[in-house]
Amino acid sequence: MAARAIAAGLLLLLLAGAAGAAGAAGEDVEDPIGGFEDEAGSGDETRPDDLGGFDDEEAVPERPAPGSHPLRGESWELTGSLGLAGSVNLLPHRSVAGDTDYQGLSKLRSRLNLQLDLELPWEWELRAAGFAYYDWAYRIRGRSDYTSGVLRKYEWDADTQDFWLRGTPIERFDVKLGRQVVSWGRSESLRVLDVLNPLDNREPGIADIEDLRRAVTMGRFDYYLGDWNLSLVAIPEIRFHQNPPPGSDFNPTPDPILAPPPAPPVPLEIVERKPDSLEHWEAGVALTGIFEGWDVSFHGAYFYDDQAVLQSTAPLMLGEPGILQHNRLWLVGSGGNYTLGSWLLKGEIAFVDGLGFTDASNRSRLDVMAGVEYYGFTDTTVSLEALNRHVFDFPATPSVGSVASVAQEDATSGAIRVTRSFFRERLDATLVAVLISGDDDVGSVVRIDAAYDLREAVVLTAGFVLYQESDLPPLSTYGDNDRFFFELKYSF
Amino acid sequence: MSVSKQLAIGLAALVAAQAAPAAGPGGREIMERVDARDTGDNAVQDMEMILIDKGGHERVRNLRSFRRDVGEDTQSILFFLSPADVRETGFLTYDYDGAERDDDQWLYLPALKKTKRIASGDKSGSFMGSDFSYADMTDRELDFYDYELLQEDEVDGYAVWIVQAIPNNEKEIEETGYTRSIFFVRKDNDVVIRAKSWVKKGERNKYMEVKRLDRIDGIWVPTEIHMTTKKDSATLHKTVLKASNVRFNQEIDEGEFTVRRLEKGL
Repeated sequence: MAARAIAAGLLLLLLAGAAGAAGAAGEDVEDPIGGFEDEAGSGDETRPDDLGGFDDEEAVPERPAPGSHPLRGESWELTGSLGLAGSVNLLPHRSVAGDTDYQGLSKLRSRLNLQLDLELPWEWELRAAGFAYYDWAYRIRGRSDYTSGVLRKYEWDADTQDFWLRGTPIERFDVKLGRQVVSWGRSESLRVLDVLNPLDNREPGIADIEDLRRAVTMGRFDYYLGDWNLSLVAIPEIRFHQNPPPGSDFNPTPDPILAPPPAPPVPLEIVERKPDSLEHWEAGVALTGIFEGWDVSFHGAYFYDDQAVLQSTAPLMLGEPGILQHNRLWLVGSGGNYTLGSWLLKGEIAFVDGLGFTDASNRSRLDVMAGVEYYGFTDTTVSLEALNRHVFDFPATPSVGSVASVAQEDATSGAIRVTRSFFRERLDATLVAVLISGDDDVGSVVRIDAAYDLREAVVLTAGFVLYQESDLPPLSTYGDNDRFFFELKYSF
Repeated sequence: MSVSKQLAIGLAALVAAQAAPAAGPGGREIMERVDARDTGDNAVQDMEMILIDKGGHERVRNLRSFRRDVGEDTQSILFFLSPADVRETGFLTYDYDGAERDDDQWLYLPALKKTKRIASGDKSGSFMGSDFSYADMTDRELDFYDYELLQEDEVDGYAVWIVQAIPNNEKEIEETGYTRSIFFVRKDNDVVIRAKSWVKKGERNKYMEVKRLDRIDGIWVPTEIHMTTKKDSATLHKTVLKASNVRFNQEIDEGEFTVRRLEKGL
């Protein structure tokens, strides 16, 4: 009996010890995995709290699939957007030509974008996209206050953005024919290799990024082999930059232009000579390689300078029309990306030949861009880019009416871009600053905006564009053009 | 044999049983099984993401994704179908095995009509505004964690292992944003059906729960996952991720995972 009692006592002690050890371990388990709610049906009433916290919800009922779109058929789809955009100039200022008072409402534009996609046999596709807008601001403020050039360029517009046919006639060979945008280069803000499509410069710093490049009719032919892609582009349609006309607060040109002294102040005639499409072609070629951690591309292009240059001032002195001409340019260049952890390093280099000057000479220019992007911050991207353009054998008297790229022997630009998302990408804030510097002058355009998802496919964007004036074109008249802008856009 | 001797042997056995760990896999071994689980050589699926804020307001994202395994590496490409303002946006990822190799990523921006290469940065950031982070959408390196089998339990009638994973280096914490995770792994099919993670920033917790698990082409697929972000017991935000039209081991050409395809779209 005594032995049994001792054994039972020992057994009890051992069991108590084991239970105590388990309890201690359970406490260690409870601590890191606490905070969970009790789960119905688990059958374990003693589960530590840290395993709870899960919602006792059923699966979500099925919803209509995205395919049930009212504007979509078996082989076609119609999409687009409807928007209202406006801007208000903050500072008093008047245009050089027309003396228009630009303070206050400067834009109230309703706009429709439409895009039709068709699936064709043998996996070919057709896309037709365009837009039309009307700007009510001119009626509200009085159309007579604006020059005819401004009304013509800004009051309304309609254009095609994409109108192409695309397919793969043989393996590894893609063809795309029609109006399209081909975007070369790695820079987001500074153009070095991105020369095939002209720009819409009518609203510097304000234009939607999707409208910045003007579509041009091209034939694009791509051949893919391993990591490489050879792309040939033939451009029979000649289009140039769309620039602010005289009378715009972004154009410093008087209208009419008067003959400079010692000539009598008579109006001068300036004629822009534009080459005819189909008779004059542009072309480009690019070889691109994409590899693990890096990519490289080599480019060549034969194209027109999108910025016209005054051939000579001599005719003006004689009272004859001055000729603005778009010079033929050659470009050879290269670009690349290299990733290093959260960093993206990028660069572009281009040698451009054929830049025109008023002494009827042609010059060459070397453009070098280096940039870096950082993705290491949560929901934030930071990008820095710097560009230098150097003109060789810079003439003593550069072109009248030319842009910074030929007005300076060395022109340096910089761009900073910071984007950040908030509220789970419901709000996207962007800061973009572009600085242009010459010999002793610095100008800038700074844009700050926020885009907020009001509801599905409805986005409200608002922000400011601030201009720092300088003697460097095109910033010489921008100093008081600071403005507030907004856009409400519904996409379907 | 005397009763006392039998009792002593019994006691010894009881002590031995208490002292020795239960026979079965350890934490690391369980997670290796999870990692090795068959997910098909490639997969195609439609995904619907429902983002629900604490006020109950919903935003919906629809995507189509393609994935293929290239040895130990994974290539994936996904296209946004809706909402309309992000339609045609595409995202291409080459997820390389091994910590020394950074992922390659490209983003196609339809507004720019341009493909942009991006660096694989902060994986703790939200994927498309959801409660899933980029770290949640990619495989984690087993060697970067210390695993411990906490206990065995049962969830919805299925026996599970509960495994704790703690990053063993600061870089992994910084990249993923998680200081600790607990996984509920079904014993019968090695699927993680629940997970709780501790988020470094904001002292929050994320709860992942597989609400629907289907077997398609012999492969277990979570077809509905709920991810909830909470602070203490208050729900801050929730995402419901639903997969449909799931197909495995399709004839998908390697050319479907290239910048060329990204720019052409669906």
